[in-house]
Amino acid sequence: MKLSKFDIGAEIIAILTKGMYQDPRDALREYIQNAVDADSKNINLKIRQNNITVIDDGTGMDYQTMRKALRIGISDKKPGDDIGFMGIGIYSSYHLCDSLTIYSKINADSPHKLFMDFKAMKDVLTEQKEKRINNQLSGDELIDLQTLLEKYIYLEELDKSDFPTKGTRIEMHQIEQNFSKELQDFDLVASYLRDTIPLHFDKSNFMWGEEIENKIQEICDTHNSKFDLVNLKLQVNSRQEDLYKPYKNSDFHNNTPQKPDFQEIKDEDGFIGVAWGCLNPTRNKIKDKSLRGFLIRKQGFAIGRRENVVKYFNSHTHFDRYVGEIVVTNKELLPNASRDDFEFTNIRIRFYNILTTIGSYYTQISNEFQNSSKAIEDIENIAAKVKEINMEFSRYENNTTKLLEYIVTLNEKLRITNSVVDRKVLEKDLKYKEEVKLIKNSIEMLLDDITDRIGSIKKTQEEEKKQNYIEKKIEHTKEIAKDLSFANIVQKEKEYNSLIELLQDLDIELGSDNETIYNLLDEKFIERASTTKVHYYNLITELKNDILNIMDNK
Amino acid sequence: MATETFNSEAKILIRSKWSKEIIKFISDNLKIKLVYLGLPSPAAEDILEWIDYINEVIAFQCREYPKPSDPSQDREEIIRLEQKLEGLERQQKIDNFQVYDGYMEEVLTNRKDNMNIEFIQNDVIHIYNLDFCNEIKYPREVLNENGDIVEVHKFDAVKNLLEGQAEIDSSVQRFILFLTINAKFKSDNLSEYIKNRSDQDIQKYLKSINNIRQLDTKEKNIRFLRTYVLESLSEHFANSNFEIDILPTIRYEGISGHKMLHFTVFGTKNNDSEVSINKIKEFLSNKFITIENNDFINLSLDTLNDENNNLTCPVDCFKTTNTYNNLWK
Repeated sequence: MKLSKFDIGAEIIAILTKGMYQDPRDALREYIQNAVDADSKNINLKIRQNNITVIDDGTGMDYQTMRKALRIGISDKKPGDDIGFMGIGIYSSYHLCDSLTIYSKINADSPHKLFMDFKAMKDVLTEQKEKRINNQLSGDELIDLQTLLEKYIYLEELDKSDFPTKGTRIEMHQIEQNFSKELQDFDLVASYLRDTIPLHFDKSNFMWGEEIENKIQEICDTHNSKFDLVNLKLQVNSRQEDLYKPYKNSDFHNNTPQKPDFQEIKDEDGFIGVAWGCLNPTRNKIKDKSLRGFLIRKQGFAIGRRENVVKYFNSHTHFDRYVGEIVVTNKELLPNASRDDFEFTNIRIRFYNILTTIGSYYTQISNEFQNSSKAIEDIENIAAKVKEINMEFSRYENNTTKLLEYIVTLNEKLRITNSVVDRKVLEKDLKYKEEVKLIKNSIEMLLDDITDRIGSIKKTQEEEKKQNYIEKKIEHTKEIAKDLSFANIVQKEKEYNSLIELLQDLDIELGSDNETIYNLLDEKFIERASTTKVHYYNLITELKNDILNIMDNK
Repeated sequence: MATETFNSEAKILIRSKWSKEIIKFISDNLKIKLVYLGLPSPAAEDILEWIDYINEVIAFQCREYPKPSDPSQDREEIIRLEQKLEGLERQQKIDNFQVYDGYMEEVLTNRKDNMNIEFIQNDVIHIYNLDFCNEIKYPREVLNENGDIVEVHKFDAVKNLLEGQAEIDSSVQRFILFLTINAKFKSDNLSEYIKNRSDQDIQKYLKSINNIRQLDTKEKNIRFLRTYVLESLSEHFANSNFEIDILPTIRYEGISGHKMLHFTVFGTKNNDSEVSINKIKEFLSNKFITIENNDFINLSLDTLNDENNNLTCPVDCFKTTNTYNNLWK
C-alpha cells in the first residue's frame, strides 16, 4: 500500500500539540529544554506584554539543523542524552501565539531565521472546518500537513549583524490573551520552571547547595554520566530574577538542614543516578509541604510528584522529614510522554528495585536520628532533673514523703537511662555516650544517699517509738492501778497539791517571803506546764526526785 | 493609525549633536552603558541615535495619540515600537527593554499600564527623555483605579519618576533629563502665575520681563514658561535629594511651525540639596539657544542686556558648574 502526503491532514498539528502541551508553560519548558540540550549555560526567558523570548548561549543551529527541527516525530536528538527528543517540540507554542520566530547561529556561520506563521495556519484550518460544517468542502479537499507547513514556514539566512553571537533566540509573538493569567504571573511561571529545568542551587540561601552540586558531579564523573545545570534568568515584564532550585535553609527548622546524605543508585548492571537528602534537624516534617520528601529528576526534569516516591520509604513520617532528590542520569532510563513516570523498560524495573533499598536506607537514617535525638532529649531532661533533685536534697531532710518521691523519680530516670544504654542509640555520639554514663552514676549515688537518709530517719523513728511505747505502757499501768484502786499492788506515789506541800514534805525550810515566791513559781511554771491534774502530780513528783537526788549527792 | 512624525530638522539636530554629546559624556563618566526611560516614537529615533550608549530601554507608548486611552484602540503603534526594540535586542545593541502600554502620566498614576502590567522602577535611570510635544500645563485625564477620572499634570509624572529614582539604593546617581514642551503659555494663566510667586526675586524678575515694552507677548510668555519649568523642576529635584543643574534652554521650531522648548537638566544624588533661588536666578539669566544653519547659537535680544553669554557646547556648559566640579569629577 502506498500513502501520499494527502493522507496526513494539517489538523494533526493542532491535535498533537493540544494533547501534548496542555499547560501554556509547557511550551516554555520545551524551548528551554532544547536550550539545555544544546549545552547552554545561560538561558534568559523574557515575558514582556504579550511576547515571549527565550535566549540561550548554546551551540546554535545551522540551516540543516533548523530544517530538520521542523520534522514531526523525527529527531536527530539522542534519547538519553537529550530531554526533548520527541520531534514535535518546535510546534509546542502552536496554540500559544500567533507566530514563532527562531534565530540561531553556530560558530563562524551566518545566522538563520525560521519563521512560523501559526496564526495563518490556524486561520486556514478554522476556515476549512467551518466549510466542512456547512458541507462546502469535501474530505478530499482538506489541506494536507505538508502543504500547510510549506506555505507558512519560512527559513532564511541572515546577515551576521542581525544575530551576531552563537546561540538561539526564540520569539513568540502575540500570545493568546487566555493564557495571560499563567504567563503574566511571575511566581506561577517560576514555580513551574523550578520543577522542570535543571537549575543550580541558590547557594546564598541553601547552605549545602554547593556541596550537593559538587558531589553529584563527582559521582557522575566517576561513572562517565552526564550531569548539567543551567543558569536561568526569568523576566516577567519589569520583574526579573535568577531562578534556582527551590530549596532554602528556612525550609528546615532552626534554619539548619542536616548535612546531605548521598546514595549512588546502581546495581551490578550499572549506574543510574544519585540520590541526595537533607534531614530536618528536629523530629518534624519539613515546613513547606510542597518540598517534603524526594523528587525524581531526569536531568532536571521532575518526573511525577514527590508523593509518588513515598511508597519506597515505608514511612510517610520519615519521608516528610527530608528534602531530597533522586537524580537520574542514566541515558537509557527515559521519561514517558506525559513525564509522570519512566518508559516501561527493564531499567525502569531495576531503578524502582534500587529505589526500595535507597528508600529503606533513608528511612533507617531518619529512624536512627529520631532515636538518638529522642535519647539526647531524654538524657538532657534527666540531667536537668537529677541536678534539680541534687540541689533540693539535704542530708538533714526529715520529710520522708518527699524523700520517697525523689526515689520514685530517680528510679524512673534510671530506667530510661538504662534503656538508652541498652538500645545503644547514642553509640555513635561519643559526647552523649559519656554523658549517659555520668548521669547514670549520679542517679545511683543520689539514690544511695537518699536511701541512707531514709534508713537513718527510720531508725530514729523506731527508737522513739520504742521509748514512747514503754512510757505509754507505764502510764497505762498507772492509770489502771489508779482506776481500780490497787494501791497495795502498786506503790502509789504521794500526790502533792502544791510545790509548798512538796517542800514541806521534804523538810526544806521555808521563810514567809520564800513561800510566796515558791507559790508564784508553782503557779507560773509548773501549773502552766501541766495539761492535766495527773500531769501536775507527775511533774511535782519528778521535781521531788530531782531534789532528792541533789540531796543524796550532798 | 500611525502617529505623525515629530521629527523636525531642529529636533534631529538636538538629538544628534546636543543630547548625544551629553549622553556620551555621562556614559564615559560612569563607565557603563545607560538605562533610558522615555517616550520614544514607534520608530525609536532617539534610541537609535544614542544606541551606542544605551543598554536598557523603558518606554511608554500610547495607542492613538492624542486620544485618551481605550482598550478597544489598536495596539499597532506599541507593536511597532516593540518590534523595533526587539530587533535592537536581537542584534545585541541593547540588553533589555520594557514597553508600557499607555501615556506615561496614566501609567505612573495607576502604577500599571493598559495591559495591567505593573510599573516597577528597578534600576537607576540615566536618561529621561520626556518629549511631551504639547503644553506643559495641559493635563491628561486619567481613569484611576477607583474608576474616577483625574487630571494628571506632566510635572506630577516627573515628580513621580524622581521619587522612584530616589528610592533606589545606589550611592552614585547621575542622570540627564531632557524635557521638550510646546512653548505656548496661555495668557490667562500668566497673571495668576506672577501673582502666586512667593519669592520676591522671582516675582521681580517676572514683573521686569512683563514691563519691557519692546518684548512682545510671545517672547514674554516663553520666559514665563521657562521660569515656571525651572522653578518646578528645582523644587521636585530638591525634594528627591537631587542636585539640579539646568543648561541653557533651546528654542526651536517643531513640525507645523510649533515653537518648542527643550530643557537639559542634570541630576546628581545629593542628600544636602535644597531649592536655591540664586541657582534659579542663574538659570534664568542664561541666554536661550536657538538653531541657525544647522548649528546652535546664543539668542541675543537687544532688549535684554543682563543675560549671560553662554557656551553652546552642552558638556562645556555643564563642566563649569559646581555640581560637576564637586560631585562628578
